[in-house]
Amino acid sequence: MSSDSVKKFSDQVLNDPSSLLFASLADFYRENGLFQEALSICQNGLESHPENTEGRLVLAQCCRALGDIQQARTELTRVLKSHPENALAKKLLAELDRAGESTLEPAREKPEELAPESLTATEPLAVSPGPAPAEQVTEPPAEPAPEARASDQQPAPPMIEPPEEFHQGAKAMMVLAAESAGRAEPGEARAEILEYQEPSPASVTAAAEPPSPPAEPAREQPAPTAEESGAYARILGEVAKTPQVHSALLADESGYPVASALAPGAAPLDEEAAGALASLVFSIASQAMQKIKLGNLERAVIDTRNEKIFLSRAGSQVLSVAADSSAKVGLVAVNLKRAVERLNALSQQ
Amino acid sequence: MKNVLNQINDIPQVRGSLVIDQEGLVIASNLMSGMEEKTISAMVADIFNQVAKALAAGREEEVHGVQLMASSGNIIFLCARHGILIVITEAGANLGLVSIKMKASLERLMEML
Repeated sequence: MSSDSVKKFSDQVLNDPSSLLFASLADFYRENGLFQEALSICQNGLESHPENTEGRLVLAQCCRALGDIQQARTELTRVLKSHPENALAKKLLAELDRAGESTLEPAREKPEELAPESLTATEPLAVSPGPAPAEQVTEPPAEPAPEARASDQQPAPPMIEPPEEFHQGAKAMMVLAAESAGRAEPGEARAEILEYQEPSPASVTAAAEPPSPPAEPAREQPAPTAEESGAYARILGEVAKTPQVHSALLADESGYPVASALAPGAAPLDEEAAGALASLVFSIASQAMQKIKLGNLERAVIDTRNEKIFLSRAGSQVLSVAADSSAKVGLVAVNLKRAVERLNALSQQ
Repeated sequence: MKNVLNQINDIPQVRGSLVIDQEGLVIASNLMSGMEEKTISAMVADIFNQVAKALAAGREEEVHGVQLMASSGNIIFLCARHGILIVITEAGANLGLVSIKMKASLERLMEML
């Protein structure tokens, strides 16, 4: 990602104080060690969106990194007050309590440790199966911060190479922003997701890394195993077989692609961009529906000139299906619903 | 314009409808009591602009309409050059019927704008 692209994305957010993307930009700055800048962006953004969980979590991490432990505690406590189930807030607070902050380097954090959950704008949707957050908080001391930092220095498994070690969701959004500004660089910075190839005729792929568990040591939701990835891919593959459907993609709430499937003959899917888009749109729409007091968003259909995009909540993930604009909405919706039920059942196993 | 909205509101389980511009300013509305016109218009305009930005970034697409289905109700909005027609329904509403009516109404509304 060029510095021009970063600047354009930054300008886009800074010129639009009401944009919900401020938290992603701040997270990007934070992950690159620009804590003061990240702090300012968060403070400005939270003036417009004081209830934005993601922004408040990034702010808390910045405060911690800058040594303002008291403020970090205040922010995390505030998040937990409104979202008692927020696993990341619990985890960060537990880290503050456990380590007394003495073992954490204020100037350098492990990017992979907090990145995926730092974009949990859809936190209210995170229907996590009961014990998960508690498990995160009571992690065994086998993964304390010092060890995590040690593993950070090992060159082998990082998902993102330096100097692009920032959050993939933020990066995907930056790619989108750069492309929107006419800087189409579709191939740039999109090769980090390792792919699991399901040997099926429906060209099914799943983004997972069966042989390398250290690649995602700090995800609060455990990385899918090869079996789970295969199951995800099969479920998505069936959705992709629906007439006039091009592709199906499962992304987590941070926009990371979890699995995807293409209909036979369909053009390749840019998983990273599609995942970021699905997560972003679902997050914004969820917040809006709650403000309008219509409850939790379950499904969205976006009608464009050339296609229909179906988004559906699947636990804490978002299932996105792209189809022709002439696709039968009811048929796709039925298959989508069935897939969501199977995905939910899978995640409960 | 009110008449067009009234016709939409005659559909069973429709709780209200309104027309806004793309900045979220209300052009006309007919909502049931208890519904906050300004909140709805602002939120819908925000969703529309964000979705439009995201889609335009990904692949030169433009948003024609969005249906949001939540646990306690639905919002459907259709976009035209000068405005956005929004309909809020109860959770079990016939969205196909609402969509058909909205498309017909949108054409009439755009002629008026």
